[in-house]
Parts: sequence; structure tokens; C-alpha cells
Amino acid sequence: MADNFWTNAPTRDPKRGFRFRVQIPGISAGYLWFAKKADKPEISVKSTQHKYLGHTFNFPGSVEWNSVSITFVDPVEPDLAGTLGDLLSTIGYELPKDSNGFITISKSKAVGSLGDVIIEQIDEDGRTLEQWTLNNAFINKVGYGTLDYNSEDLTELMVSFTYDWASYSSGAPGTKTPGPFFAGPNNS
Amino acid sequence: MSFWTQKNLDPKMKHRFRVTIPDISNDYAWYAKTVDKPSFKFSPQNENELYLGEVFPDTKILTNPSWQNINTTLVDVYSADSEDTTTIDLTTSLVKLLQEANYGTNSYFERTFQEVRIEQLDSNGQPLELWTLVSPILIDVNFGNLDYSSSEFIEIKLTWSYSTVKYTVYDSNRTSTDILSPTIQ
Repeated sequence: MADNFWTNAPTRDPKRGFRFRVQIPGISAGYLWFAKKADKPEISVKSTQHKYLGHTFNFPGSVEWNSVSITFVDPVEPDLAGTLGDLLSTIGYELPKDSNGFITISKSKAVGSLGDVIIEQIDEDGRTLEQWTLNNAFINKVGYGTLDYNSEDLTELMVSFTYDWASYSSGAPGTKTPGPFFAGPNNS
Repeated sequence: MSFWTQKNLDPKMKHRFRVTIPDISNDYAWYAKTVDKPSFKFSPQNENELYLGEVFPDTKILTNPSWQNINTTLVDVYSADSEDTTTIDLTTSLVKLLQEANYGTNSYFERTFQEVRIEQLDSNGQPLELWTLVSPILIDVNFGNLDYSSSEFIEIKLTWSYSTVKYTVYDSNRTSTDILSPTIQ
């Protein structure tokens, strides 16, 4: 029988969906404590089909990394809606005024304004179990949320990121890496 | 016998290629988007001829093949970093070819091009076949078009005419064999 099984007294918890943290320097320094939900990166391998008589044979082709969405709550301080609007200006989008507006969005501006987008899954002690870095990431969609008289929920903003590829690193067991949010208010 | 059921079957794929255009850069043209592989056609020397009194056309006589023009499409790249001196501005590089050929001067318009190399690769990035265009000349350069409604890259289309090709094939040990290596007199 395998050494690891559900009946064994666990030394470590399995990864949990709520144990994560996100860093996006272009939005705010440090961990984004107002993040609510984050997709982990997703890979698709395209395939080419070939048919012979009544059979279909598949061959793998190019790899695509699918967009990642992160949902935030707008805490007002910082003003997330305003921050995202400022980001759009930084990447080269200007509201149309007259015929002399020639500045447009470029990849270097879009990627540079965001910084490294890092999504970390952590364990019960706040140690990093896995770290995903979205390389050359830029914003491809911003949803400012829905207003509803029937709802008492916090307003949510959804931001979707496109990136060229994601790097993965796993945290070393035993390494304690507390951040300013998880360390608590009295920690110096 | 080989068949589609073999898991190690790895057909040549359209996206596995690289092209080198030495007149632009000695590095691989990573900004290439599409390139035709060479093609040739034969025209019978005695098309539709027949001897007097015959009903059927004469037996066809084969002539030398004629190599068809090749199109390459390149993305017009440039670097937004003023300190980056390695990125090539393709449009400028191509316009400079005209300048170097004495265009617009009283001198004779003359330009020879270096051999263009087209490699088909396997999944490990190793060449399977190498096509070298011998005595190529650029006969058409299209710098693309501008369109406010489009977010596509500007594409530069080049059309090459050439005298003949050299064809080299590589086996699984990376040993090359020249299948076609004509000598230009």
C-alpha cells in the first residue's frame, strides 16, 4: 500500500483554494489584500488533425497560455477603479479629444506599467507552495462590476490578463515567508 | 510499414521552419511569418506539335524545369528602446538595398543578392531539409498597407526569383546529403 493515503495522519494540508496571494506592482505595492479570486494559468496545446479513410489522427502543435482573470473588491482606499483607469493611460490609451491624438497602446508600455504579475498558492503557515509569474503580461479586459439595488454584496472588479507564458516555481518546504498582510498588525 | 498509428510519427509541420536572408541579417529572420518552399514546373518542348498526317500529338519532350517565384512575408519590426541597437528596422534595411544598388544616381543600377536559405525543422529544432536559393533577386517588395480599422502587424512581402536551388537533406544522425547541387557557369 502507498505510504500516503487519506487514512494517514497528515503532516501537511492539501492545497486549499482560499490560501493564495497576488502581487501586481502596477496596481499596488505588496500583496493585493483586496483580491477575491484568481485563476491559475492554463495551457492549451493546439492540435492538427489528419484524416485517413474513416479515421482521424491528431498531432500536437503550438502551445497557448490562456488568459487569467483576477477578481478584486474595490476597497475605496486605495481607489482601485481610479488606479485601473490610470493604468490605461500609462499603457497608451488616451480618450479621443481631437485629430492630434497620435499616442497608442504598445506592448512595451502595457507590460512595463504592470510589472511582474505573481500568483502564489500558500500553505497553512503562509509559506509559498507554488509561485506563478505571468511573463509579459498586460491587461486585456477590465470589468468595473455590476450595480444592483437588491444586493448587499461588495462591488467587484474583474481584470483579465494576457501573457506570453507563465513561469512556475515551488516553495521549499520549511521556508517561512511572511508578508506584511499575513504577519498581522503588530508585526514590525 | 509506417502508418498513421505510429506514435513516433512526426510529419513535417508548416510552423517548423526558419529562413535566413543575409542581405538583411546573417541571423535567422525571426520576424518571418510565411515563406514559400521552392517549386518548379516543366513545360514540354513540343507542346501541341504533331507530325504531318498524325492524329495524336507527338510524344512530349521534357525540358529543363523552370523554378517558380517565392514569396516571403515578414513582420516589420522595430525596437521601442532607443538603446537597443540589435533590432532591425526592416523597411529601412530594404530601402537601403536600393540606395546600395545606385538607385537615383547616374551609375548603372546593379545589385547582387546573397543566397537565401530556407530550412524545414523537426520538433527538436534540427533541420530536416535545407533549400538554398541560388542567384536570387528581389523582384517585388511590398511595404504593406495602413488601416485604421486593423490591429494587425504591418507585413512586408518580398518576392524572389532565382536561377536554381541547392537541396540538402539531413538524416536522424544530423548527417547532411546534398541531393541537388547545380553548378552555375
